[in-house]
Amino acid sequence: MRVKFVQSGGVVGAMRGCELDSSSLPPEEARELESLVRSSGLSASGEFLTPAARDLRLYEIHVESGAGSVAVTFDDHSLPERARPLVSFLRRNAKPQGRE
Amino acid sequence: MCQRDPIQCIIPPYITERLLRSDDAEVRARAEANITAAANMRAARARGRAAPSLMAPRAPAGGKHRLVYDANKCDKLPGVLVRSEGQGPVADPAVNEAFDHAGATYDFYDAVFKRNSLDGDGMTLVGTVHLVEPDGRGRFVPLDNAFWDGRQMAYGDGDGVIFQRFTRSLDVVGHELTHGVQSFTSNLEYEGQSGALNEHFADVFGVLVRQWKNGEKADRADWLIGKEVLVGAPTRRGVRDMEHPGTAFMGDRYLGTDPQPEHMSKLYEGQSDNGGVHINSGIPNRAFVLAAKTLGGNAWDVTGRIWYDTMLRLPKRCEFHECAELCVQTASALGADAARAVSAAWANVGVAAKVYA
Repeated sequence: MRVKFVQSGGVVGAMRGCELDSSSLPPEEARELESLVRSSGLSASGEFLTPAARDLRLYEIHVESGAGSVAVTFDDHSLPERARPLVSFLRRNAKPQGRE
Repeated sequence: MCQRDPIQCIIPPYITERLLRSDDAEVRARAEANITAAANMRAARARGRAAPSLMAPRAPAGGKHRLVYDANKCDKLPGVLVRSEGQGPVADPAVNEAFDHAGATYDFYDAVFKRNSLDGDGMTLVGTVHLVEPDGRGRFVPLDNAFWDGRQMAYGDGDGVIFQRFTRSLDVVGHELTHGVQSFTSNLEYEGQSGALNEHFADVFGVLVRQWKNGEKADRADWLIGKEVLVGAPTRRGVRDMEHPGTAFMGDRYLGTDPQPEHMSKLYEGQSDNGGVHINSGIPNRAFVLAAKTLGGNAWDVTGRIWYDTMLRLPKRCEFHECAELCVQTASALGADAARAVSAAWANVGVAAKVYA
């Protein structure tokens, strides 16, 4: 399983992110990542943003696994409760990112 | 216990549909409640888009009216009311900063542009301090952000390592409130170049509130946004530098390097940040500073007036060159010198605009 994550926006606008591959992570972290992805409920691609809000942080998550590929974008207010532990895990693994 | 507000956490439809088929009756009930809440929220937003003033609480006397709430270690808005208009300072500095800086922003718009609050009709200024967020492990941590939710401002206290409380910065408070002004005026779409202009105008009037309050002239100002919200370190001076975009932070272990371009040749064309709304705002930000320094004096007097009148007239979706042309057209009403200075400022950042004078 491969997970690509980018956090952007917020009033600060700094970009952070990470790319994780469960096959190259320590076994315990790989299990945690796969478990968090399963329990996140993310199964279909889409962009879910809060229209009237400004300066919320955005979270792009792209998951590739044996079950297929899912790409989603949420903001602080649209992020589903079940996906919050996954985003927290990814934020802890994120590092500053340059522009692509 | 801090319960999450279903209106603030929208579950995507595909997940709700799955929850409705759950064997667990409680899960099904929550999914049904979420559908109702989401429908109510969509209806409220539709009303708000059609006529934003329908969502705006009016000041009782029609003038300056502020309400500051404490989130009380929750992530729900607005929280518990802790200071209202007419009440004196309280022991909590975050409450007083949110109150005072909202007041300064109200006074700035009133004195400089004769604008009565965000909607021009005495809208109450509502802010919440001490907002927290779930950390994904069952706890709540201070929010590292400030935002405008469409109806009010909200401020976190920061992690204490990189960020301090966001109410400390007058220009950040002015920035968030200017998002409110825009929602009642141009309402620039929050993506791509129109979104970057939305962020640009929020920075412009955020920094002008501070300069006006402190009596800073254009040639003496530092043009930094949010320097008070950062914990001091050699790698960071602010969250943005309007005069020299791309230099506010460099090689910082958390923030990295400021991604803002200062010229159209370096326009960010990626998808992140709604197409770079906080990134590409560096281009018009620098144009504003160049115009303000050329025209001299107090930036809010002439350059601020040109930008304010432009902001009111912009279409919801527009690109930098359209904003530049409207800026120059607006400046030409003040004379050929103003039009030339504004046109030259935009040209300097790679955006061509005709001189109408």
